[in-house]
Amino acid sequence: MQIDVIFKIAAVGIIVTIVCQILKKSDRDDIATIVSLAGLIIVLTVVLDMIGDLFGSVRAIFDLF
Amino acid sequence: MELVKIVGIALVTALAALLLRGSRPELSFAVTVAGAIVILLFVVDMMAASFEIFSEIAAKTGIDNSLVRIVIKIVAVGYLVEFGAGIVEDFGCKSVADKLVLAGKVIVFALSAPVIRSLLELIGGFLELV
Repeated sequence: MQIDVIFKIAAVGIIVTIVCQILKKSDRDDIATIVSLAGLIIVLTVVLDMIGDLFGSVRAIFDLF
Repeated sequence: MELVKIVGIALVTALAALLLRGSRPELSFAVTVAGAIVILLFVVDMMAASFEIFSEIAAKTGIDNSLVRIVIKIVAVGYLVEFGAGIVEDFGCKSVADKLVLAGKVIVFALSAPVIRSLLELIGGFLELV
């Protein structure tokens, strides 16, 4: 199953946090916000894809709509 | 055996969410949703198997197939509403989760209306016989 997705998302979160800290320390705050936004978008696309899978399989099994 | 894996996933998800909550709250939301989905995908497969048996029994006892489909739909509605409400409540919007649960109840009631009507027709049929 997609158990590794959880680890990937956690890894992305940690990496984004570290990069933002570094960027903030070298007073490039604008780039830090862009990086955190990019991390968020990547994670959201993965999660939306999984939600699509879940709803697809539920629809297939319960032949709802 | 399945249960051990599911409990493991739940613990890992909670840990990851806790880890990310400090620095990146929005990412911890994504980890929670991903963990919930992985668990639900496990459970959906098991439920599919039990539904085959359920419809087999219904076919043998001659129950009308549409009634069985309505029961399955109601289970699915409860399933999805529980999934959504749990995640929404997890992030503070208790009121939105309550609205979702209310909507789920209304949908279930709307789905079960034809069943009630057919029940009344059945009873009416008996009364006329008596």
